[in-house]
Amino acid sequence: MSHLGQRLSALIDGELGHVERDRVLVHLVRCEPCRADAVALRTLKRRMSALGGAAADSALTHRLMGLALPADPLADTRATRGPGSFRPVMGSGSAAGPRELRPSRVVVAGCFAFLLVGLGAAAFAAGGGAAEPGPQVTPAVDVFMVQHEIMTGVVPVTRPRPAPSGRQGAVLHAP
Amino acid sequence: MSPLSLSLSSRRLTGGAVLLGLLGAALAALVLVDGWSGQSVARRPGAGGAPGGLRPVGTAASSRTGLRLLREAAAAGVATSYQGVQIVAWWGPHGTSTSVVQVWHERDRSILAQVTDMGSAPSAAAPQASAAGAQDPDGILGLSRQLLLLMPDNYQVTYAGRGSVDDRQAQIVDVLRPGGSLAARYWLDTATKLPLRRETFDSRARMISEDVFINLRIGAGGLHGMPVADVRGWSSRLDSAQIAGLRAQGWPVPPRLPGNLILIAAHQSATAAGPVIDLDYSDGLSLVSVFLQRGELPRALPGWREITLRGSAVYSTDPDSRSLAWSAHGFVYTVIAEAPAATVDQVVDSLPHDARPGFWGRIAKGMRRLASWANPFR
Repeated sequence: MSHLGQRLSALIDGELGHVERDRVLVHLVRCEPCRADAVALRTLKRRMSALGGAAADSALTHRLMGLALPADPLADTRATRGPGSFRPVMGSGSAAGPRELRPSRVVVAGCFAFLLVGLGAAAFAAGGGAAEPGPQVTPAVDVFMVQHEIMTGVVPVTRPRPAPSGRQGAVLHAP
Repeated sequence: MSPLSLSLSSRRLTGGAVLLGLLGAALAALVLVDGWSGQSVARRPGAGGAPGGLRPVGTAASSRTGLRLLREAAAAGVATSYQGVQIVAWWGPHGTSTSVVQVWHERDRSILAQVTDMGSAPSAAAPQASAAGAQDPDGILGLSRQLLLLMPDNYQVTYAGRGSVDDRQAQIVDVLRPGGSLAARYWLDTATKLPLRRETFDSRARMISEDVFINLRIGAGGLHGMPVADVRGWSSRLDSAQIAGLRAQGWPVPPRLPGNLILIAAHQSATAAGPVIDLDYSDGLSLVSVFLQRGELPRALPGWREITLRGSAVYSTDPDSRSLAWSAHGFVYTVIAEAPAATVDQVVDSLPHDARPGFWGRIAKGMRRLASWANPFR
């Protein structure tokens, strides 16, 4: 009985056609060693994928570290001169990093500022006005003046005023 | 009798005569000086004239005389029929006003007044239409029995001499503050006891108001053509229990205000905008009325101007700032004062005002409101 060989890795990678895939699966049902190889290959692929993510995370970390470095134009030059140093990797990362990350920072900061300003404007608008708005009242000052003059004992006097309320005499005959 | 003894007796007689002559001359000079000083006060121009040279010794006798004269004047104002013309001038911190008032008073009845404005500064106004008014039969030129009960508690009243007003002989009574500064001066008709003239001053000796009668006709003969009263005061006077009830309902009714102003009367009236409470405060000379209404002032007040008193924004309608209005804590306050500007400032400052929260205070208040609106459990 021949085993799957290269077709097993093609199966794991999803590279087989329908007919070939069915044949390989039928073989796997009957062949214990090939099933073990398939499990091992899937595990390996999963681990490799995990290693790839970790590598990407590491690259991102290096780029962020490059952003934090001072913007010294000589730094890249010095780094490229040292062939065994860590700087060439960092230099290439830091040179590309700020250009890649700044727009996202600006967007985040802009969104935050927009939210802050919007919330502040809403709070400012909501914070105006009286605590409990009541009915609007224009004092009938002419009527009040007559009442006041009566209380003073001085003869009521009509003084020049620009008739603020237009309600002169509104309650002249109040009870 | 020897010539020597004759000579001695003649010398004694001559010395006695000289002594008596000197005493008589001093007495005559004293009387003349007293009469001249009274005349000088009466002739002193009112506007801006600080009270000067006349400073009577504030003895107990002159105080008793002054108070007696004021009480007689208050009584005469009720019991005497008269007709005359009154000139009313008021100097405020932002302008002045002057009015000519036709006055009729029938014995034991209300005083009727017909007012014609003479103009004001700085806004020169044309003479306005007249209005007729009714007045309590309780006083004229601020002399009422009720206010005279308060006056001795806050002022020293002294008799200041004699003078004249409009060719009528008058007795002058000064009303002094505890510090000795002149608060008011009255000229009282010698014949009828009626008050003829009143001047009031602030604590810095600046004249606040001047009220003077001219063309005064005593007796019922001058009452022909007296108009019929078409206004009257609010008859709904509140007693102490009703005032306490108002306080229980949240109405701000302080029993006293700065400047020794005591609540002397409270009235209530009904309007379309709701009830109006009139609170009257006095120290015996000044009188401040505070009108309360529930609600708030509209955003636009045509004819009113915004001024600032002790950091508080209020609205005024008069050039002399005697009428002030603002709203705070759900009430509209209208203050009308016959009092020195400093006292009015203190009164306005003592009454409630809505504090301006400022920028951050408003933001915080808005945040609380937004949070309360977003709260699903409220």
